[in-house]
Amino acid sequence: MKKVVGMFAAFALMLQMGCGPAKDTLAVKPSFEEEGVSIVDRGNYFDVTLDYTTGLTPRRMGELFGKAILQMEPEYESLIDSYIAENINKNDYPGSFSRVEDLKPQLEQSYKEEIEGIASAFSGGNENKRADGKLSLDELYLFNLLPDVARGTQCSFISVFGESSETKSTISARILDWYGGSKNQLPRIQGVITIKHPQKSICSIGYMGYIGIITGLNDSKVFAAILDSQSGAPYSSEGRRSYPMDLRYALETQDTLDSAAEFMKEHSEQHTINYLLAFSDEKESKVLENNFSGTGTNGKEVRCELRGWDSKLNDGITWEMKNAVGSVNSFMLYGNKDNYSDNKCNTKRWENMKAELGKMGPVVTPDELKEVASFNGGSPGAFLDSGDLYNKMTLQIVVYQPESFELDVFFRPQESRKNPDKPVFEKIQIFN
Amino acid sequence: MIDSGILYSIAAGCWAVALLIAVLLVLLISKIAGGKKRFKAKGIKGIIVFLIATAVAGYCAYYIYHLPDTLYYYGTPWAMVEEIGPSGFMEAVMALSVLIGAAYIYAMVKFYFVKISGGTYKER
Repeated sequence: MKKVVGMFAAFALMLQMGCGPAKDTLAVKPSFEEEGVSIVDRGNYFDVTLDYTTGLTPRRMGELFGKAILQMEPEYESLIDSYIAENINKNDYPGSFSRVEDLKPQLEQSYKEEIEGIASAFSGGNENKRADGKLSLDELYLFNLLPDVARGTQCSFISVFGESSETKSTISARILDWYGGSKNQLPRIQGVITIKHPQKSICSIGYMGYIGIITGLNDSKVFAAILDSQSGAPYSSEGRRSYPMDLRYALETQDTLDSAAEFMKEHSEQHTINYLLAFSDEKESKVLENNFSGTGTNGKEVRCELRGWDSKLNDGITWEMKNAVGSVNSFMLYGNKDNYSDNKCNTKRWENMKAELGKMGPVVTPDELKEVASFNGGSPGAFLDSGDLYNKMTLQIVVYQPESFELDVFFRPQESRKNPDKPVFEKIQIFN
Repeated sequence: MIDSGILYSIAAGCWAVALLIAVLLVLLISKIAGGKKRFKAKGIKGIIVFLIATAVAGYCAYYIYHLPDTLYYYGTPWAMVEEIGPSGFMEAVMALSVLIGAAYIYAMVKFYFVKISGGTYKER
């Protein structure tokens, strides 16, 4: 009997070990600072600065960034390697590199040099072996082009501005619902990455080693974020461009919401997939609906247009609040493809977004917008059918006020895959 | 997308049947402990039954393990399914796994432990 009890105790202990924290919380991580690259561990995220005003070349910047990443997170290679393996199965793995090869020539030369510089610090070299714990150059490209090659970014966006905002200026909330990995890989490398250029600086709320924009902003008060919107159109990568990389370029070169959106529109047909881009500046927010390869409704075919708070929407879709826009993962403009009505995942979140925003009254404060973005039915539910804006997949909630550059972010805890019932926001200093 | 209501119903049904099997298993074990049943290998028939039952249970376990591939795409990790949903999927899978395990154990015990006729095992 004692033996049986002992075996059970040993088994329970093994289970406990297996379910323990994904990260050694006792490990002390030093800061990194060398030439134009600095990384500070802020506890739940990394504060990264890539300073091009120091005169560094993109290649050298990448090399230092790669070195810094490994110093701050020695397991980085195995984390990303296993993350790729979880997102791309062994059958699709070889084919995904041909997609990468298709996209590479259209990337900005400086971005390629940055990626190649980062990869030079890693041990994978040029050998692409799935789940080998090493990160090769191609795998780093693949990680950087994941939204273009494998897609899968689900998200929500809500924004109030003008008379609907307590500050009379824009308050935007972006919720990133992205698979973080079974070992919490992405939260373990989450960061706020500031890229300083002599003319313009941008800030990416993303992941170390990922140089495109998932959520980003520039010092001209333009904010932008990517959201997926699947239309069922056939996929093609031949001769195409990466839209998160183009979005970075837009933030690095454009001063206004409209010009940044215009830049993206100019390249919209060259991207691999249909998507949404949420844009904000200090005066307003709009959503760019890019359905370049899809079909339309109501006898129209909207290809790539901006949606504002007063835009006419497809039949059956309503939005009552003035000076406010919202978005889930579907097109809504009148005449655009209706990938909303038959998708409970979108309809539930949209209805909850409207209901929660409506509860706040005609004027919304930043804290109230955080409350709306944090909506869940007691605890974060499954992404597909809970209708929770803050759900089990949520990795980040970014609340931003362009006028004052006030940035508050909820990052999923690095040590746990389970989101807390109530997200905790951290105030983040940018462009100091 | 599978409706969550259906999944929760499946889970509830599986737990109910698993509970019933557990009760029957306890009764069966109490009979074995009381000396009313004893193990009988049943020769070649016993081996064949064991192999078939194990193969069926193994197939079911394999199919359950690969359910995310059917639901989404080949190679989808369980951790992803847990986050994406649908709600109730993990509960349904857990209940189904317990039910299959319980049914397998019950079938094996029931088959290999036979009633002792004409006195207890010790007496003979």
